[in-house]
Amino acid sequence: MLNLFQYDFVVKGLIAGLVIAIVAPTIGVFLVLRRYSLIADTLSHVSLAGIALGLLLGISPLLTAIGATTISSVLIDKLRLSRKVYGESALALFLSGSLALAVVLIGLSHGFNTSLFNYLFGSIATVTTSDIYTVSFLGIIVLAILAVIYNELLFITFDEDSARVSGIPVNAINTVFIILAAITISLAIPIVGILLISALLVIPTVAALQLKKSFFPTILIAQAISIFSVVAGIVVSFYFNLAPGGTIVLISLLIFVIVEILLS
Amino acid sequence: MVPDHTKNIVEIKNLSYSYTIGTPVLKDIDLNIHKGDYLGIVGPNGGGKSTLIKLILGLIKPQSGTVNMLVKNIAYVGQKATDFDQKFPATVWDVVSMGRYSADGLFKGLNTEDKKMIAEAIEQVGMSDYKNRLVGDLSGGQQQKTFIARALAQQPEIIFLDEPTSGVDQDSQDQFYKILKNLNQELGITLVLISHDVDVITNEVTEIAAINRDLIFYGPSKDFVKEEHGIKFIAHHQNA
Repeated sequence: MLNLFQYDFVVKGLIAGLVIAIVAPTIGVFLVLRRYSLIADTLSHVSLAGIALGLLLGISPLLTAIGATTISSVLIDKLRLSRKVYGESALALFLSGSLALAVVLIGLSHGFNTSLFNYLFGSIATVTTSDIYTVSFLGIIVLAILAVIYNELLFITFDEDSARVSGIPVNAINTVFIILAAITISLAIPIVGILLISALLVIPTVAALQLKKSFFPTILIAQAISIFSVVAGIVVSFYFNLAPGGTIVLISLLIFVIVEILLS
Repeated sequence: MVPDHTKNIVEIKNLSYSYTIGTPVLKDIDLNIHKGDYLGIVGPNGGGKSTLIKLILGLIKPQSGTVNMLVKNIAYVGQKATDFDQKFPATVWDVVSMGRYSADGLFKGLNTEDKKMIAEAIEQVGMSDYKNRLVGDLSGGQQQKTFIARALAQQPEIIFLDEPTSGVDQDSQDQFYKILKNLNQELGITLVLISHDVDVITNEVTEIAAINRDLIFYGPSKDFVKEEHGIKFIAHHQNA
């Protein structure tokens, strides 16, 4: 049997995958409970525009993706708060708008190439050493900031008005949180791909919520499910020559189904 | 502690608000809330009670007039309290802890002192046996007590409650009002209670403000409902 650890790209994929597996569901728990899961989908499409721009200009697509999602996340939040458009409409505007921009940018760079395909569906083979540094560094930053605002964010997630009245700077914390979500989504691109990112944020969370634990244990369970899915997904896809992104998401879905069956 | 009811802690002047231009839900409201008051805000649905509370709390901005909040430590138990996400993964302890998050500076976490106050607040509403239960698994009355405990943990000077007993059974309601009376009389916490249930709250609160776009009555609750020959009727209201 092949030893997967002798392959440099597998090791890189596993390292980046582990960081994402821990960060994504931690952000995901807050997004799901705030009925905000769809922003993950929107921001992942925005990241495609960022990647297309990066490929066109010849700079790191990961960095342009982070830039695009961060700016868009703040704009989406502003648009939602202004109440000029409905919350979902704000998401739809950005989703279709950024996809349109991505298509135009891809056209400018003369069509669909393989590396773009990798970004769409994820390919751990595209993870470079510098990506690992970026993913690990930003992943730790996201977790550290989340740890600082954790209590206040929990209060806001549970009861925004009471949090505001009790003196918590709700708007500022919401903005920080949405930027953290945007960064996380960009970081997950190499592992599961743009089209499957939201699955990594949402499915482990939804599965963990079924177990009806209190807040922090729910996060830990979601992380455990996510870590297992990512590692198992990478290993299984390596030996059976499957697409890793899809395999990871299918494994997490399988866990969700098993949890549902065990609880019923 | 004997409340003196003379020191203003909220001053409302000429307050007006409309959601659509030309049809104000609140018009020229003048009202002071004093330290130690147990104020009931009553009025018909759509009469502007909740809007008034939101304006006082700064959740919406007044279009004209002013709200002067003279205290800093304010707690709010909203209508949403019994209408929250019943699947939310939080225990009674988690929810009551929220009351301490902004109390001694943000982003600090909880120290031993905070934890003691949380335990005391849970004890005060008689929920100690349930502190590790998920709030979503509790009855409406128990959830309501949990939210009061969260407000208490904050050690506030004033608590605003918006229709706190909606969806709560009679026994729990009675217990709930007993807890509130105790907070007001024993701890001297100022309470502002919104309700459409005039009969119940006139027996509980000490001051009444009746709102139906205008402030149609303000005064001691005993003057609001006068009993005569065993028949209750509402005192003749002059426009304020």
